Amino acid sequence: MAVDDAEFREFFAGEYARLCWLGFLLTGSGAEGEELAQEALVRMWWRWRLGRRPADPARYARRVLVNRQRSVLRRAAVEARSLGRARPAELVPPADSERAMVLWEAVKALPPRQRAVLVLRYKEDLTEAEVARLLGLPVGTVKSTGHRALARLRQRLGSPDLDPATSAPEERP
Amino acid sequence: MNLDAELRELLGRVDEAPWPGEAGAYDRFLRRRRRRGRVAVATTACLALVAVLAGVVLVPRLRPSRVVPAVPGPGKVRVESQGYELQLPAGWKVERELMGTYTPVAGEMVPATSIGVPRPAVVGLVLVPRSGRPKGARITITTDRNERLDYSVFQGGSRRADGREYRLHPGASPGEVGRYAVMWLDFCSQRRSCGGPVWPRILWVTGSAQADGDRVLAVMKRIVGALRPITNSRRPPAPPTVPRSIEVLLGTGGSGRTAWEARIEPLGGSSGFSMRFPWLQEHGKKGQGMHWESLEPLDIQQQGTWTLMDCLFWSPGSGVLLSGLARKEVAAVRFELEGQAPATVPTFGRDKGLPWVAYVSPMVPKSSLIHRVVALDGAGREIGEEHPFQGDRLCGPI
Repeated sequence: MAVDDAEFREFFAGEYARLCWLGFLLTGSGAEGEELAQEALVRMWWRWRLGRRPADPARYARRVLVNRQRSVLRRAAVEARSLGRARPAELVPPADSERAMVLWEAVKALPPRQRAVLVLRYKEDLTEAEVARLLGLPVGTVKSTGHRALARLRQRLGSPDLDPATSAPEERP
Repeated sequence: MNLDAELRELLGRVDEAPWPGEAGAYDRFLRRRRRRGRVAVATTACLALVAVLAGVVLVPRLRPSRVVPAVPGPGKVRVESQGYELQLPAGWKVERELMGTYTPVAGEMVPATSIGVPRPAVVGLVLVPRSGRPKGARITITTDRNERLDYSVFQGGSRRADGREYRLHPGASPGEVGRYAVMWLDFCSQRRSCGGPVWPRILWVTGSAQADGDRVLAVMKRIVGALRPITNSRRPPAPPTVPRSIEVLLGTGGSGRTAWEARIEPLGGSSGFSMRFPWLQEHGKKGQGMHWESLEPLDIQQQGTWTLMDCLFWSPGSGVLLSGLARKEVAAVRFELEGQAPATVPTFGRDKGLPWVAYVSPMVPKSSLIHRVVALDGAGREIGEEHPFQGDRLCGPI
């Protein structure tokens, strides 16, 4: 058990920040992100302890985190708990330009499902099929949700690289 | 750089970034793990008891519930605006009610009141002992919005039976016995609805006395335990939704090329709201002529409306249609557009047995700028508002 703990601690140290950031990107809240990361790691530890260590623990922990975030009830509980914890300043991802900060604000303003699709596609590099499985959505919905999210971001950013003929079929039947 | 690349770069930056507060993270994890272990043990031990209790206690409650008028009982004071009801401690009375304004919002469990209408309301209480003793004793109950518990103040504190935390702040001035701060979250955002973001709120129970401060403190602690959450401090039920397989034609309108059908229908296993344009379905390319969006019940609940946009490019000069779903109590929807008279349309589909009604705007010129979509009740009062498309011109150049 002690060996397991040492090994797990190493895993914890290596993955904690990444999981927190992932939780933060999905929820837009630092406190909620941390809460989700902690929950995912507790589940991971129990699995580890029971000898069911996944082949790719980091990937598994990220999946657990995303699944936790999906649950509305859980989310509400996280929200309530995290409010009790003081966070002096709102977190922002490391951004070195005004454009990056504006982009983050636009990402944060997206509805949760749209934001989740973008984060999983563009940060976690998952395929649309993987995102669909993880979020429990049909692939078509993931596609349309992703398109809508990008269209919204483009609208916010006034990006010139939009092709109106192909970019938002859901809004222009 | 295109948007895809920008997104990848922005979101990827966090991979190597440290997380603030990482230092104590493992200790927090250990505490949580231990707590979870205890919960697991306790859960197993309680399962049999729960099964027995479920039969005895819960089954009779499965009968259809009825609305119980929330009339305070004897010795009870109800402060709806701040979300609590208090059974007055024995020997104490309300000396004064502190007044303010209160605007109940949709989803708040307030009986027989109109939502969205500001009204004078009790926002705090001053209690005194009936006997006048202890001398100068007084307990004031007030609230602070957007305040969190201060964990640096730790003279005493714990959790109420319902899990709400509280802390005791030492008296700050002569005669002040102390102040209990109770976490009293507000589940409803003002002027909108319940069920969205949870707002922090602190309920202060402040005591003062010229003598026998301990007695006053004991009463204050009883009050902290006896406060009953009502209205906006109760977590609202999840917004209503519909089964995934449901398919309902809500209404039709327009004619020729611009004829439309508003529906709730499934697509790919999810339920959604759709606008179908039969002319384009018949004459356009395969897959054209249907705009489907997965339902967002929470958005509808919070905003009152949830608006989609259709640019009718196949019918030159026809413009844009705005359509969507609204909470069932929404009788009409007003579209406020820059430089144009507001357009108000009645909602429809109330007879379909769904938790929502639908609306479709008159044709709106392309490139219009929409300020607000406003939900109106039967009396024409505003009961919700939405700012769709984030100030961008409708179907204009992006």
